[in-house]
Amino acid sequence: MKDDEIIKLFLERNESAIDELSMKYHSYCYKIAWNLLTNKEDSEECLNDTWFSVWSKIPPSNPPVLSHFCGRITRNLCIDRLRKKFAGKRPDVHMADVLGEMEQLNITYTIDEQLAEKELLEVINGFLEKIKPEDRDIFVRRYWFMDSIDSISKRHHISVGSVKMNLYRSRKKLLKLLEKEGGCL
Amino acid sequence: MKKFDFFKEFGKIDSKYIHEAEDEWKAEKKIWIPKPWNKVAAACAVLAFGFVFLSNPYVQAAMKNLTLSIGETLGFSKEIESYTDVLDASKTENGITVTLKEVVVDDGVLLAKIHAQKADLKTQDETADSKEFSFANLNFDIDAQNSTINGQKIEEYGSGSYLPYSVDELMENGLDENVYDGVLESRFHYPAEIGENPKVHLVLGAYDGDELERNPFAIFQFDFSISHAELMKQTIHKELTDTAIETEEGTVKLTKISMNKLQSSITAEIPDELYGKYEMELLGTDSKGNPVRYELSELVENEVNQWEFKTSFWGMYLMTEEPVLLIPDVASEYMELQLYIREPYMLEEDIIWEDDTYIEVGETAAEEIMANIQDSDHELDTDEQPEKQIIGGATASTEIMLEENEEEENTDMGEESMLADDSWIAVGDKIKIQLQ
Repeated sequence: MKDDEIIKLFLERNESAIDELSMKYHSYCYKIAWNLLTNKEDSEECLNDTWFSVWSKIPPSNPPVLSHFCGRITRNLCIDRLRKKFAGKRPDVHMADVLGEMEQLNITYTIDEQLAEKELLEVINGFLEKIKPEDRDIFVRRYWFMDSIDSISKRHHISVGSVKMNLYRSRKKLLKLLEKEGGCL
Repeated sequence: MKKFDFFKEFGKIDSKYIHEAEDEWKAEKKIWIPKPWNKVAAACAVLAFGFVFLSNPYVQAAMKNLTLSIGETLGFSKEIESYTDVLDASKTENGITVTLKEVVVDDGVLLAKIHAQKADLKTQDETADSKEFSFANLNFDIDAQNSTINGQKIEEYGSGSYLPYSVDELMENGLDENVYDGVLESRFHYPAEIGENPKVHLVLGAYDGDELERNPFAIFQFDFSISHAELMKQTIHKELTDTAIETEEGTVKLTKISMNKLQSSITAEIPDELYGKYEMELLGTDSKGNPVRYELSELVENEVNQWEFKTSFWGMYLMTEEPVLLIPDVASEYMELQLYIREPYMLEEDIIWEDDTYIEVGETAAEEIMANIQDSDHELDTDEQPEKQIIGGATASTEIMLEENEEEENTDMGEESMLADDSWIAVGDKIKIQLQ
């Protein structure tokens, strides 16, 4: 079923929308959940939460890209679950790395909160626009899809060390931009 | 004060980037891609200081006068001017005049400082594309596909571009969008010695930032010879004897070292059992207290079990606000290094499962070891005795006795702040390499 047809079902409050959505985007969202949670039960639960979250958001939302809409929800739910799971505990080594990498990009800002978040997001989008396509792909695969370094290494046919270095450089560049935009560490 | 939650906020990025990353990666995209950093920095400058500076001719003049040399731009604390060829050769294409200001070439690295400005209308080619452009939206890149050294193609594996301005300069004056200044870097494999006077055919591309996938806006070709003799002369080559590290998998024998002010490499015989199983790095300090890091790089051409550890350019600029080069000072008397190993990342198919429970996948960024050296979060307890710190991994901590050293100059970057993360394990004894 096409995306607009699925969205139409949601807008009509037709419960088959959830089945259709699940059928079409299960594997897409499961990959994201799996990359974050690396646990079958947790991932499945997050996906169930995703479908119901979509149900509660459409309407009024009418997402232009349904896969990304679902992926974002899955990602956020998984982050919450991950944080809850490891609250006060040391996360698995697998996640400790990517969490640590992203922790470096958390900044504290003092200007108007909503405005700041919007502006910082614009900085991130601007940063992604400006960097090389390869760097962008590596960055997005790592921090949006949460791919492992090894998987990115295979995707780009470059060494693991090169991926790490590439990410390291990109993080530093972005951090400088974020700091200049109104944040402080 | 509120914390920006990057983990979550990154989920909101523009859909086009997600869509782009969903597709299979096409390697050919790596070709002809411009370096964007100037634009990013330009955006920062504009955001921070507004446009008033950009149209101020006095600022333009000041900016031109205050560009940094290649060495200064890259953060070399050690002088590399004697290795730098000042060319000042200009080419005009499509309404842009590019001046190749300085070039540094060494084995595996090419650095070029360029200045670009709109061509003088009187001399501009009449056939030039009349399309309006601004340097705020134009990027320059070394076209590694078409650049050659001694007629042989270079095989680029990494690149970078840097603004040759100090942070203070940028903060004070912003960035002039009527000119472009940049240091372009290409790291490459080259199967032969580049020789004393390598002939370089350097191709630069200027790209419209809004049309990255299209052909370059303008191409600039430069042919010149570089005096590499000075750098070769100042490069120390030393055969190493009795320099070995005993490990459970066998002996790592360091056989040669070469070093100059740009880079350093160590050749080592590594038993199959070791390099097949582990990632390796040599970490330590030189006798002047400079932190030093060598990464296991590649197999030496035509040699069996001969591997090269190389210092890395990449890590140098990313660990602190100010770049720190993790290379030994050529004037130091000796260097003390510790071999670190870690298991490589596990492949997905190697993930261990037990009743659907994930057990372990190691994935700690190797470079963070050295990042930790500079990371204030990892500063050692000042109550500890300065001459004795632990730097080993969690499973096999290794105590390092730091000797009192009157020669030490760079105490801020010394071993006392070194901490390895849990995944790296120090193996064997610390070795001392006599350099002088």
